[in-house]
Amino acid sequence: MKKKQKQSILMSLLMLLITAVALTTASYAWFSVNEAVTLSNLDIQVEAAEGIQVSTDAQTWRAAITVADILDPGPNYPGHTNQIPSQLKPVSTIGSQSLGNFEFFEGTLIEDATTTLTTTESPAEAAGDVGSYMAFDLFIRSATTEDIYLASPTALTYAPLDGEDSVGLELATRVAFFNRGTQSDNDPAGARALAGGTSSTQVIWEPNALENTPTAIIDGATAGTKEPYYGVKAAGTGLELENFDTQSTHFELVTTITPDTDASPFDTTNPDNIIFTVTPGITKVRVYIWIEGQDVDCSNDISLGVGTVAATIRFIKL
Amino acid sequence: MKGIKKLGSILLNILLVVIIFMAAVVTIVALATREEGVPNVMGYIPLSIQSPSMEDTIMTGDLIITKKYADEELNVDDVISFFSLEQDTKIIKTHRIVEVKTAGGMVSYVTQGDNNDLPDEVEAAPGDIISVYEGTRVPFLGKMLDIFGSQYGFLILVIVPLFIAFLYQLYKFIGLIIEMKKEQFLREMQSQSKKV
Repeated sequence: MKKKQKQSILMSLLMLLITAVALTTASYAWFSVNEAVTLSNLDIQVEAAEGIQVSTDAQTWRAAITVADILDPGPNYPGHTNQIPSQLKPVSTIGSQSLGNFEFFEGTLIEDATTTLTTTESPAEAAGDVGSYMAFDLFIRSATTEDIYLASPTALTYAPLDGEDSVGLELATRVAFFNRGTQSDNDPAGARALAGGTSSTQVIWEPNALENTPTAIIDGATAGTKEPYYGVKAAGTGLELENFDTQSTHFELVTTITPDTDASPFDTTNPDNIIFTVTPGITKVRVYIWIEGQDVDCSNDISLGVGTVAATIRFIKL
Repeated sequence: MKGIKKLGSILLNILLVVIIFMAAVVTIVALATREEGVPNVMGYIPLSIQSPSMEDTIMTGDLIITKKYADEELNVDDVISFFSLEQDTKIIKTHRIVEVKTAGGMVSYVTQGDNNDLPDEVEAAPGDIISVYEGTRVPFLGKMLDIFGSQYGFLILVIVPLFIAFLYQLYKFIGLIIEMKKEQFLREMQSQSKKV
């Protein structure tokens, strides 16, 4: 009887331990699986059509990449400076270059007797959820020399943040492609190291150039046409929010956004719509996405309002 | 009555074993190393088939066990699992290679589901490929894992029954201890009364 009792107790203890272990590990698995890290306010997709492939590290070649690939290009590219902030804030540029990067300026309104603008250089680009604009490296691989165009469904759209109304930020977004050069196919490290320079080609595209906010139209913008703007080109304090033409040290009129893609950006019969040209090998392109604070749709206050952007970029060749 | 009780006990134990088994499978998959969200169990990647695109080779609801892609050469008729963008969402497709394209060192794969009329619109690049299907599939297990592995499915079908089972086993264990202590006490009482 005693022996039988002991066996019963041991069996019962064993079953107790089994269910305890099963419950503990299952609960841990449940909690760990349901811990999701999402960038719900950001969506970037870059797609390549037939004949070209894209990569975030010049080694792993894909048909399409997402923001997760951009944020973490992998162990081959530890020194990347892919800057993807979860929120964009207005900045300004005239497309000038400094040390192989676009020069961006941030603006702060100073409320005093009159409201003035202080512009400061944006901090150096760094990897991760930092900064006010997006900047990331894209590698394009091609076996032949090809002119690259944008194709449907390329678009930039505004995603409302916490129910905020749009202040026209999506109408003021810009995308720039800065071609830093091409390296041979068997030199991915060399491709990653391409820094570009003043001879590098660049293109700035305004996806929603032909749309304006009602406020911008009241302020003089012509509906259905692309409006030139005075971009910031130097840091300064006490700057006026009008009469930009008299403040040429700090502002420059940007009349053309090259190429002139805005009317029908996907029209591949128009050579103006060529975004960049790739030659055989690996081409490194720095992509910038930002909200142009000096755009007529961004209102007078370039420090006002934050927004999030969903960007889809699709490249094709003929 | 005794027979029904015994049958009930056996059925409960079978149910407990099934739940522990499913909990173990889901736990292994959940805690396995993940690359780009895809579980990897010692070089093998389990995938649950969500669409009929590869029927009748692979059925919807099957769990396929694929081998992690190691940059090996792939050929026409190989079945691969790869990332693809569909309606702005990154998904995993498992389709057959119908053409291998090479141009100046660049390789890309034209793929097509066995049950589809046309090839996939976008070619798969080597970096998109996750794994290679070598024929191992378990019917219906994919669907079961999807249910058991969902947030509420796992809670209701695994965590709650395991918790009830744990409480029941604890109750039984405590009962046996009490029984044992009771008998011990009675024996001591008896031996003391004999002495007297």
